[in-house]
Amino acid sequence: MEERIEHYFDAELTKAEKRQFEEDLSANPDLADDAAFYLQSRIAAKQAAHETLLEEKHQRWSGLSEEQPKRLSRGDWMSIAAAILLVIAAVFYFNNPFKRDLSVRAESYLANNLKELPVHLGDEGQRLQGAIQAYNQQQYEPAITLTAIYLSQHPADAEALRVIGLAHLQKKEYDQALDYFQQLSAQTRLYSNPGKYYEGLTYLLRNQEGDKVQGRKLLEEVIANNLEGKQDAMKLLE
Amino acid sequence: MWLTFAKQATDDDIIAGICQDYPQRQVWENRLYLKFRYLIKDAVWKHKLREDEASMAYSDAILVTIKHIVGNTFEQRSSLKTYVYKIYQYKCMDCLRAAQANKRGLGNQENLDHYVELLPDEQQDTIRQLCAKYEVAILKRRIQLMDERCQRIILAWGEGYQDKEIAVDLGYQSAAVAKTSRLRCLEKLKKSYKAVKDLKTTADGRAD
Repeated sequence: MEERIEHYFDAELTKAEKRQFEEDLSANPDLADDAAFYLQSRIAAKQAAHETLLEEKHQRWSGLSEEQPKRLSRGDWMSIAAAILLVIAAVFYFNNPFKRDLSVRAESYLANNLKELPVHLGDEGQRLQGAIQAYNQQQYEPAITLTAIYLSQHPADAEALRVIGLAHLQKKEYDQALDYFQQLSAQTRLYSNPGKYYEGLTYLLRNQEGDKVQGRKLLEEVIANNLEGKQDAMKLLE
Repeated sequence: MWLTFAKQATDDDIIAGICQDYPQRQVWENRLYLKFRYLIKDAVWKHKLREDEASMAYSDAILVTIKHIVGNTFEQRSSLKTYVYKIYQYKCMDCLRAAQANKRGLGNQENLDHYVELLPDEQQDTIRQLCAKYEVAILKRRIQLMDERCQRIILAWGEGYQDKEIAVDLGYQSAAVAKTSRLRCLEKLKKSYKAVKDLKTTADGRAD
């Protein structure tokens, strides 16, 4: 078989050689027959080679037994989603981040309220006015000192008990604050007595064992009995 | 149900791996095969193929993909998954068509056109008519029945190896010697083909 046939179809002939080959192809039936055979055998060889290689590779690959990561079915994905939802629901049920702790709300209340107390005019209670002014300037220690002196002379003064209790509360001296608020709560002749409200608030802020329950109970009493601090108590317990 | 969290090979990893020499290349060919093997079950369901047919078609698609990667005809315009899937769909359709008569020659025609169209227009029809005398399916069978040396050299040629590569692989002295041997084998193939055709013609004649 002439090598020219392969050179022609591989585009390896010069222009002149190519022209000569094409002329010979027209004139020589044997050359044309060989060219046809060459083309068909080239196709057959290509297909046979592919099929032989395919058979070899297919046998090798079919026998592979590598562990594959399991593909998750739709049911699997739904089970995973349900489990995740259950976990989220449990977290919310037991520890709802949107429902703030009562103590936290009490702290927020204190931070945004009870920063200023009204100053009473008049000669009586001048020292108390000084204490209130000190309180309003967030000078809680001087406020406590001045109020203590005033209380030594006026032990039942409701306003003094309130001021000194609140000053201790601002300083996070919860036990002392409770003591004064309980004295205030015990007074029965006041037209408007915030003692129980402040007491409940202090329990929530102190937040020791049992304080939350006690604080809530006192606030509920303030609400139920329409005592001073009812509106604020209702907001805290929402 | 346990999930494995082993790192999956990326397309770039697989392509780089397949472009290596053997035996490293074999590892990556296997990984490519395993990566999309689930397509076999999809094909059984979608194309109503038998599992062995779908499996063979899948291996074929993977082999073609590997050839394209090695031959730089896979240009990474799509992912490997898309590429393998497309080729696999064609192979599945070929498989379905193979069951029908006269459809198997379609691929041969496309390959022949590629060469015949190199000839002047006035010679194309003549060559096509002469080509029809030599059936590819019979030629393939004759190749398989050739002596081992001729079979190896013709199959290597069919795989696209150059004569110099065949010379090295099969132990010929030079590329020129390998080429001469190959052309002699093609001559043998032609004689073998004609002998079978003559026998068939004679048998048909007697039957008449």
